[in-house]
Amino acid sequence: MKLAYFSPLPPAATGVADYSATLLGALARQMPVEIFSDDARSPLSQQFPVRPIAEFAARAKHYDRRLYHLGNSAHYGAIFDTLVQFPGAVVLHDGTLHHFFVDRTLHRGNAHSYVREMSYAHGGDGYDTAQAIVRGAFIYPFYKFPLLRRAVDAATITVAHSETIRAAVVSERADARIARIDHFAFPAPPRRAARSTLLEKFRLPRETFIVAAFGSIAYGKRAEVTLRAFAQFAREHPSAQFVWVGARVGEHDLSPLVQELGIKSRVRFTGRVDQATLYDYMHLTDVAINLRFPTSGEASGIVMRLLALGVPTIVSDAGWYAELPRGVVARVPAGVGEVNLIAAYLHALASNSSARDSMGALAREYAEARGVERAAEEYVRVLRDN
Amino acid sequence: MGADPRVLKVEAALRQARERLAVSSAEGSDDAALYLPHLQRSLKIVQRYAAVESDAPFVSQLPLIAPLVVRGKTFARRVLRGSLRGAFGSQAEFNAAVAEILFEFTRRAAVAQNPPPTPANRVNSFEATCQPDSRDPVLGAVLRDLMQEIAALRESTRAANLSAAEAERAVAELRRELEQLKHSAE
Repeated sequence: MKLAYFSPLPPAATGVADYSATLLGALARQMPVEIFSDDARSPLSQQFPVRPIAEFAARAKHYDRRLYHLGNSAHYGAIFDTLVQFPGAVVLHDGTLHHFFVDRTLHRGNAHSYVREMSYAHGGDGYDTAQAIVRGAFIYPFYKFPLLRRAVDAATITVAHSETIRAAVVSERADARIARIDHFAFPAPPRRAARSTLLEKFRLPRETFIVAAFGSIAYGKRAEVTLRAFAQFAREHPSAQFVWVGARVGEHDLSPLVQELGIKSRVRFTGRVDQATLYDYMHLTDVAINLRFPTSGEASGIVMRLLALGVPTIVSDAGWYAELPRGVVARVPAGVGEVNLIAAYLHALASNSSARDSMGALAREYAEARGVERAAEEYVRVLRDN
Repeated sequence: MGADPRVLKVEAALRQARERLAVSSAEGSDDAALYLPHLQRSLKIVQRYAAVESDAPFVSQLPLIAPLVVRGKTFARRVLRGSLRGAFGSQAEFNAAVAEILFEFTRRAAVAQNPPPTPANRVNSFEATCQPDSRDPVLGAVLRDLMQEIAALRESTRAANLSAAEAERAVAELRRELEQLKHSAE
């Protein structure tokens, strides 16, 4: 059974590329795999045959199965087009594809395709709303109209990492074939150096309590809430430091807020870093904060990395995050009291190392039960049966 | 089989944090005021944004346009739209953010009118206010109405080419709702 595997690959700035880079190693041990991706410069091309997606049509008959990774950004245009032409198994990483469709239609001046897609996915309501949007009289309903139907219809089976996405697919097509495969935990690398050495390397104080956030600073990551909560916590913990490891997206400038909160000397933004540095910071982290609201049910590769390392993590009580078991993470509802509750949880975890250790141990166990080899086996089973 | 003792330990630590927070909230730390300046500033920007999007009289946009050295109304509006999107994201994202602040502010104000009456149930009351719907049926109904109002305001900002005056009216209505809520609580 030979597999054609469609996905963005590193260094593309999307979590799905990192997901595929890890999964492919395990999957290739169980079945022959060829990758179709437009990220031809990827280091993965040293290990696997990587072909441009445009070549697939001419080679389609060489493969027994097709596996498409779809997400809600501009990286998936060619993958989606191939899926519609050559149906196969689809891994749906997001519960809405609306941003993806807006990018490939309206943002390129193609209003007609946007209206057609909205009509296909959401009938008369979709048509009316799309017309209003094209006229400039309505805001984008990113979450109300998720535009999943065409992908679900083209899929021989849809793979979801969360119950939230599974439910979104069912609401599109009640009879859709769906498989639930949990997001695997990335193998946790050992710490490269002693804590004191890493602290020195990053010019952080020797005696410090490190709160960190990881991943890009973008809309929905609640960066303001995170910083306000840290500022509140830091008033009672003079040794605490905050690090945000990840790229800033667009014009999301937080420096005025940092200035206003008076925590400039205790906050650091590293920008995008390589994997090894990312893990160095994770090893140093005493408590991580990873918020997401609104969310369409997407799983977080960053959180799975943190759990594998046993880092106590505070997350939003929404979507996939809300499905994580009790004790593994601390969940905070978005909205009223959010800042105060995060600060209170930070204080509780900072002053109770035993609770922190228990949380870390539970997180590691949760991650260990979701190894990449197990995920690969589940993918093989799904592909064999569909 | 009993629950994992480590889960119980973590839950106990988090519960203690909530209790500590509930007591400090009940002792009068009201951070609703923190939101007010942001809300007022955001509403002002919403009104200006709506004025630009709805091609309101050019003069009303002068405070924003003055720094831009451009020729012609059409070109100025195009640059202005671009700079607003650059500064605040798409209008949908910006409106959603403002609606969220408005939503939090109104709920916070409503919660402030119904503080936990006795130390014994402070924790329960706090947890109730953390939920999307309050356990108090009357307050819950009011909050739901307000949420609908806000959702409608957000949707209609663009749908109706909302003018600055209309935005003012919508906000004034919400404020009246809050006043009524305050009186009924008293």
